[in-house]
Amino acid sequence: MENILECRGVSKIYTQFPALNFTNLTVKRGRIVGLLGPNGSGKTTLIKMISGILTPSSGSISINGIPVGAQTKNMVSYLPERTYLNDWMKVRDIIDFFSDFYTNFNKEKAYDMLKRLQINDGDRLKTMSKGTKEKVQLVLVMSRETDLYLLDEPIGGVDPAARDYILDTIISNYSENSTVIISTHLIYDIEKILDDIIFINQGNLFLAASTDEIREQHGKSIDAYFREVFRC
Amino acid sequence: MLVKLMKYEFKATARMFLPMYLIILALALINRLFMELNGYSTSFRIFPENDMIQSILSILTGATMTIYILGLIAMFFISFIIFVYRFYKNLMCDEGYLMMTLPVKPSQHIWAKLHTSMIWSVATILVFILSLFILLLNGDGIQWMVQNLPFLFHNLIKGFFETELITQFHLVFFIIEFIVLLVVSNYSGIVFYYACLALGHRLSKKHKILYAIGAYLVISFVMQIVALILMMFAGIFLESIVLSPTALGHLIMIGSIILSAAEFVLFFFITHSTLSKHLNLE
Amino acid sequence: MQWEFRDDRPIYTQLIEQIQLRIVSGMYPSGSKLPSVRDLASEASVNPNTMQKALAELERLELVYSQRTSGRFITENQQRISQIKEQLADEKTETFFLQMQQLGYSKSETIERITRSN
Repeated sequence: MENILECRGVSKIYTQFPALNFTNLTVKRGRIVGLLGPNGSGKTTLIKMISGILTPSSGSISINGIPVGAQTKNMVSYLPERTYLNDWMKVRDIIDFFSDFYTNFNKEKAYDMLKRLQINDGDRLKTMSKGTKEKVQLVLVMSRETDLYLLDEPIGGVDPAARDYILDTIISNYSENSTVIISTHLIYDIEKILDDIIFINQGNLFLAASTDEIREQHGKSIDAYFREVFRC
Repeated sequence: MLVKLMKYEFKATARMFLPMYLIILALALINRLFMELNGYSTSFRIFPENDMIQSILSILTGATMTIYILGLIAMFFISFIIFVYRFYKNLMCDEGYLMMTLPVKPSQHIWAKLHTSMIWSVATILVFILSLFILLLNGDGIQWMVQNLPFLFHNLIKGFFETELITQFHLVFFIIEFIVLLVVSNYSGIVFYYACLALGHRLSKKHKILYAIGAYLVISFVMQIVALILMMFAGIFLESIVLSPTALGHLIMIGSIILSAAEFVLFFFITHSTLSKHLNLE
Repeated sequence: MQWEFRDDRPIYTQLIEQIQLRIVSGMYPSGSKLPSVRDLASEASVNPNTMQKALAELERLELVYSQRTSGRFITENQQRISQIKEQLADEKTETFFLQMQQLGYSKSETIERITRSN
């Protein structure tokens, strides 16, 4: 199946406040896609609906042709903006947890990444700094070998070295069978690795195109083009 | 999947239950110690001539007994809070991002927590009974039990088989009805609280707990009114026909079971629909 | 040699240029094996698809060829490499003369400066 993600007529309305109002959107397999837009534009709303923790007010979302549900949750690896790990577990406990529930979780890969990040598997999550917890979450998400990765602001509030590591992990994790959707407002730092761009503004789909097209057509970086378009 | 979920439920909640159980059992032990110092099983008394020691001992004994009893009450109360809090924290707060993206159906999440809560309920009761044994059981008691219990039991069984077949059937059915009612009403009781939390989550963005409490009060009130109305109708209905006491008994039991089951279905549905279609994690 | 990219042009065209540079300068010797697409992309911090696109174009330009199971290799065709080298040299010279012209020097004045400074 070439289209890994299809959204049709999706909208999300919170008591008269339309957070998202789309027509249609398709994302192909084997792409690294940037979901860009100002804060509050509806990026996180869309991601939550794809990952299944928020239900659209109307329209449908399907992954590999299957509507969002328990089955698609196996095909999606979601990294939320916040830390969601419980406090009482140790790192190796949460790894066992993921390994238990997801058949496509690669334990060796996870331990390998943890070693390189110098995180001890016997550490308790409770004792970790926020930055370290975020790294653990990234490791858990990227150790799943699945179709669609949803990363919500993975590099916001992270030091430059960690940022490079994250981008490098995304590149080296690349496979023609999976797609990575990165939602961020820090366009400049990641545009080199993006294949396609989806621009959202105020809940509406503004533009969906490839990075090359935008650079060729407008003769400027995505970041510069974005600033121009969304100039306050 | 359900079993896996329950496994993690137990791991997460055992950290709260086991220490509590140990404390209660320790309190029972300490109380027993003081009771023995006061000569419970033996006639042993420490320094019986010394009034001051005896009065200090009495005060301490009273104090520890009070703590133990308060502890018991607290244990039941805290158990209940753990069930409800766990559901909220694990599925409706930050951890929800982890749990609700697992390849698991929302109904499985609810059942996992219900079954786990049920098992802990039974465990809490067992710990209570065990603490009583620790507190009270001594050589005399054991001796009494060994001498009399088999005899009593034997009489009970003999008595049972000596009654008419009809009575036997009724007795067995009553016991079954009682157990079923106990189980069903326990499940419906817990899922009722889940439903209140679910409604609180759905109705308000910023004051979820407040709305949950509100839902609890409103639904409790409505349930009591409904129960009253049903009883009135039942009363009227029963006056018009003549029933034997046993038939009446069965009717009441089965009626109660059906009522509890209906409540369970309603509250499970509310909880399930919130988790599957109206979840909005912040 | 560092991988350097400007923001206002597509990455893959810049990749083509920079890999060409590496080939003609001898940094990627003729006949040698290139790292995998993934490793190259990682080294340059770019999207593997983009790197793939650039390499495909280089194959079309006959600077690079691929053997199905072994990977990609720089061409052994020295003539072709020289051709590209000439092409790039011409482009650079053109650009240089244009830049000097912007400063106000004519072509002959520019050539004189070069011979003098040597």
